[in-house]
Amino acid sequence: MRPLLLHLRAYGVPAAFAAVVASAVLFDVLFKDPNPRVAALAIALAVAAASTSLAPPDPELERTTAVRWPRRRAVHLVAMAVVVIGLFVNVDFVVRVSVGLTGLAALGVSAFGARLGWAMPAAWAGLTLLFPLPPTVPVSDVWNWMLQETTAGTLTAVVLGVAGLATYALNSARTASLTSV
Amino acid sequence: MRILRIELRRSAALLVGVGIVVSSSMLLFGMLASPWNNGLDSWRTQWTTLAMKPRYLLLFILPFVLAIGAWQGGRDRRSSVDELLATTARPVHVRVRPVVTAMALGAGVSWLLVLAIGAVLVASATSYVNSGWVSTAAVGVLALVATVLLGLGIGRAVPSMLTPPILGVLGLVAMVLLTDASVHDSAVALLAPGFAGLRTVDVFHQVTARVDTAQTIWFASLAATGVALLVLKGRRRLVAVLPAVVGTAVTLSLLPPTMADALVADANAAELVCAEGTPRVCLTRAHASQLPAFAGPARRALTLLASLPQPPTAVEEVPTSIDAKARPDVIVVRDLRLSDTLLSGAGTAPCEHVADYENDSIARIVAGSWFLGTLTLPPKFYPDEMPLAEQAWAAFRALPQDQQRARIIAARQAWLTCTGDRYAILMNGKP
Repeated sequence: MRPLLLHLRAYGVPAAFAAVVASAVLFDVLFKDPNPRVAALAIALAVAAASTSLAPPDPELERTTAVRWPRRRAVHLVAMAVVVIGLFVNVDFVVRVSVGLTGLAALGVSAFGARLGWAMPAAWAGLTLLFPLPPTVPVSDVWNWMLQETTAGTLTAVVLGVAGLATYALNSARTASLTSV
Repeated sequence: MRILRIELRRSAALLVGVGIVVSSSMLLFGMLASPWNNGLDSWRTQWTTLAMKPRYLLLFILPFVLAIGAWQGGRDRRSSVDELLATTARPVHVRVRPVVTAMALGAGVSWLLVLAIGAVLVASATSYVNSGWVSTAAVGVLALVATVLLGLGIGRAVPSMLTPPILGVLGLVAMVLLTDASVHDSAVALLAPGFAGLRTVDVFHQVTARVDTAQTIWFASLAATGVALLVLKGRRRLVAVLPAVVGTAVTLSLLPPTMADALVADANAAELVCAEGTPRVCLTRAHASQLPAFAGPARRALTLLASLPQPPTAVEEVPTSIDAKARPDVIVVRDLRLSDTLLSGAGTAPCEHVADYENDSIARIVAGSWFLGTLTLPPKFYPDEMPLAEQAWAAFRALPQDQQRARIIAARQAWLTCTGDRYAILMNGKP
């Protein structure tokens, strides 16, 4: 048990978990009748906060440990998605939105490190909400996957989730951030 | 100066600057220039729209600038050198000056660069300038600088790794909620830098000086809060909330109650400027640079319409945001981009509240093409409607000549009074 607790503390999981719980509680309290836009943003907030726990402070050092890292990272990511789904269980389509956003966060963490990985789900959420595509554009189903229930949208969420899981589990996080610290 | 150069290279100032320029360019020339947003011309043809439309991008950019500022603010604490730096014999406000300057330059200069790119396009597209646009554009620059300073302050006060993501997404939440508030016509939405709820963003309306002042005060108070958070230590940080609170109160009291009150009509832009010679062809001053190219086709259209019993004798432009009465003696031009359709509807303006929009627009095309002798489609025509238009044209031309003329005159009268079913008049002879 102790190694697990130390592992979680090294990854910053307690603080991230507290942030996720706080965002869920605030969302429940402030928005009694949420529309899909606010719900998607609330889940994005939870996923963004949780994504900071996806990498330790020194990924290169951790990589030298002789442990089955892909399995560990996959379990970590799936557990994160399950926690987010559990806390927002009253939202419509929570599974689809959570899976997609978690996949995006994992892709972001693999590419930019844990400090900036949240930018990917936040960017897609912001673009969808502020720059909507009209239904006449063919790619609008994929663009609006967070807000609408369409087959293309669900497929997009699944693809993002699977791609994120595969990339993160097999690669871990990038070590250095874009500037020196 | 050397420290400033180091900070510009090593801090997140470059990231902010390059990120703003790249994302703004992609959004300006991609999203805001898309067909459903009325294309590139919606912002690049006038100085007023250059000042107002790109500010919509700030709704997306500001949360990320806030987050990157927070990340930069936590840098000293994360590297565990904040106590070391505090032992230097320089006061706090001198120590933070390089990073504050670097980040402010990164944010401000990048937006000025984006505006400069737009300015090059606008300068070649129009000759009309009204000085109100400068203050509206300057508020955009101030918003970016203020947000990055606020981010720096919050990042230094709470240097956790969770601060950037939480600030980023909360910023997005704030922007989306404020944008949604503008749908209910509330001026609180003007606390956000974009003009999301305004229905008429064109050269004929300007942002009032009152709104510009209120937004300047709001963003200046945010900047002051950020700087105060950077400079104050310990419990004195609570004082830093004061500028934000005061700023919010002053701003909300200055802002007008509805979004519609935020704009004032620009009478100078709507004044008519006429080409030399007769018959009279007049455009608004805002579009005066297009008058030389427009006068020829306009006068040709008047010549073609001269065979009508009461033909129009002049062409005038009325801005689309102003209601225009139908006038039988003048061809009213509403939207210069469709100027090829001066003849459509036999020289009348389209009616609002049409029961069958598709049929009415086909009728207008048929009526206009009759004067030209061949079916002429306007530039913005849906390709699926082509066969219907060709069918209607063939059917109409199959009628005897005097019946065609009678129906055209009757339909023109119906468009002038906005009564009757003009398509039925043309096709069946009866309204």
